[in-house]
Amino acid sequence: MFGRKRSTRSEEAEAYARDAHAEASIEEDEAQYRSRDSIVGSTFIAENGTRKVLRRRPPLLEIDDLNVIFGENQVLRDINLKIRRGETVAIIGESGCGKTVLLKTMIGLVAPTTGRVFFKGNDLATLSDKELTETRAHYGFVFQMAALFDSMTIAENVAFPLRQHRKEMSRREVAERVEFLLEEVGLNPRIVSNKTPSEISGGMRKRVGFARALAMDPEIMLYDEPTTGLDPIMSDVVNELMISARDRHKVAGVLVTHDMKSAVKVANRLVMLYPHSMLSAEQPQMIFDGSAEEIWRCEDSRVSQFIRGEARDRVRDMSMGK
Amino acid sequence: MNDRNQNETTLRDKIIGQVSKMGRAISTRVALAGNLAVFSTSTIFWLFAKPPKKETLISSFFNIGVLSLPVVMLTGTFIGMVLAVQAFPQFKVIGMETRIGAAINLSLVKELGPVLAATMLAGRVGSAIAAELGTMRVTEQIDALSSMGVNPIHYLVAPRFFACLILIPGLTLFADLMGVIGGAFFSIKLLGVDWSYYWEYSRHTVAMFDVFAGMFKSVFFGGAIALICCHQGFRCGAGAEGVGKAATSSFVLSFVAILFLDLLLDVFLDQIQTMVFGTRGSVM
Repeated sequence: MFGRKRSTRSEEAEAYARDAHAEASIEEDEAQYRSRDSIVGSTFIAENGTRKVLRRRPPLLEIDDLNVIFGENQVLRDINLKIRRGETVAIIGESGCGKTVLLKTMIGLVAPTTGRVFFKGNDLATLSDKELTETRAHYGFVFQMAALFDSMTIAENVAFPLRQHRKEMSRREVAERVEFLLEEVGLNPRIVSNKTPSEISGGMRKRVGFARALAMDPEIMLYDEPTTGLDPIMSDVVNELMISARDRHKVAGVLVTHDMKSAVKVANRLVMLYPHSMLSAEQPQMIFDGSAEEIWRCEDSRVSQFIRGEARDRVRDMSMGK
Repeated sequence: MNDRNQNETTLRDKIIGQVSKMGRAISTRVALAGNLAVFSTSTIFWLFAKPPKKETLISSFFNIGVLSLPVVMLTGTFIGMVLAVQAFPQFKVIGMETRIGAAINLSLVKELGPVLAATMLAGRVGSAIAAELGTMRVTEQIDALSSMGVNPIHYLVAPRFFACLILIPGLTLFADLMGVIGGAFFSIKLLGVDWSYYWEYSRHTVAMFDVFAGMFKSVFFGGAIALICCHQGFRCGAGAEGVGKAATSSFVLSFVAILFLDLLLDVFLDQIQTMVFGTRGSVM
């Protein structure tokens, strides 16, 4: 029995070695991929005549026919989205269109009413409490208001995920890592380390939140309106940090924002959502999915209205309860 | 004719409106109870699955135990004295003022000690827990914990629940002790009851089982307070108003739960006592 187990492992290892090649063919095998719950495999005959399973690496994050309904209020309808490794996707749209809800379903903070969310091929809804907790350690989440723990100092906040998950790190190693992370986001560790979140400015808090999200070397960063409420210079600092996370750390990213400048600068791909309440039953909620160049050429008037920031008849529409 | 029809329709609408309102209220409450049950199960699961971290336990123990002690002791003292004031004239009328100690101490250890210690805990610690966790919910700190792969029930609720469960018998004991001292001081020093009779009758009437019964009940009160208050904090609505509401409702719900559990446990413990020790002794 032991021997059999070992041979299965070696097959897996061999199959894993083909991953790089396999990932490229994910798009072609989408139908097959969808028919399975988590890991996709196709049987093939190897050179020595044995049957083997080629495991394909699923996309980093995949959202499948997602619907979210709160009480009687439908927020998201039939959303399908894939995030590949290393790419940064900006989800844009006006307030109340469900961007943040979509972001929170990606990490399981909001449960889908119907539909599924996969992280590396694992359906978040089927994971146990413990597995979900472990999976989330691969994410970095930057909250709109930073969400720093106000009972802790800045250094303790950044060290928090390390203390929870990296038991093998000594106090000194943690302190060094915290110092490195704070410097990385442009903060002087000697000045801010021992302050509490209430003693520093909004821009600094946001950057501390950024450092905390980076602490665990995540595979995907989720940004919830990271530039909202910041001055133009600080907004651009945050943009640069997101670009550096993407390029230097090779982290995938999902950026929820209504700041077009930030979306265009940071993201490789833009996705636009439209408020569900303003759509008819047959209109899709995702009204744009493409690159920054394409969005400027998009002929959909709803898209051009948003990217140019035009009110048009919105005041009249809103007063009529639309 | 038309008028009558219209009247009937409005009456029917009114009735339907009322029924649906009632239905909604009931379903909300049933959902809340179910939600609390799931929350409680999850808390107990996490308590055993992974013991709470030392640093979270220490701060919970300090906050719930050490900081609550003065107020619980103060309440106990005053209740002991108030009992003496209230009971003395009644006992004096029938010439039995020497037995006042039995009445004071029995009601203290069985009822007032545990219930008042629990009420003070719900007021001092419970609403603070609800407000603290509510603020953490509103400012997304609870979501931040989840997003970092830390289960908020394990990190925030389990230590508070454990601390309440472990510490409330001790707090009850201190409330009992101060109540006994307060009652005795008032009866003997100020009302002039003979001290040897006072203690003798007390000793005869109050059994160890009564002290145990009080502490046993308090464990349930402590658990209920922690779960209700943490749950209220976790499901806190938006903004300052939501936090305020969570704090208020956590106290009200805890208090109702304490009284309800008290009744149930009294019936249960009474049966046990009768079964084990036979008929109960009386103050007289």
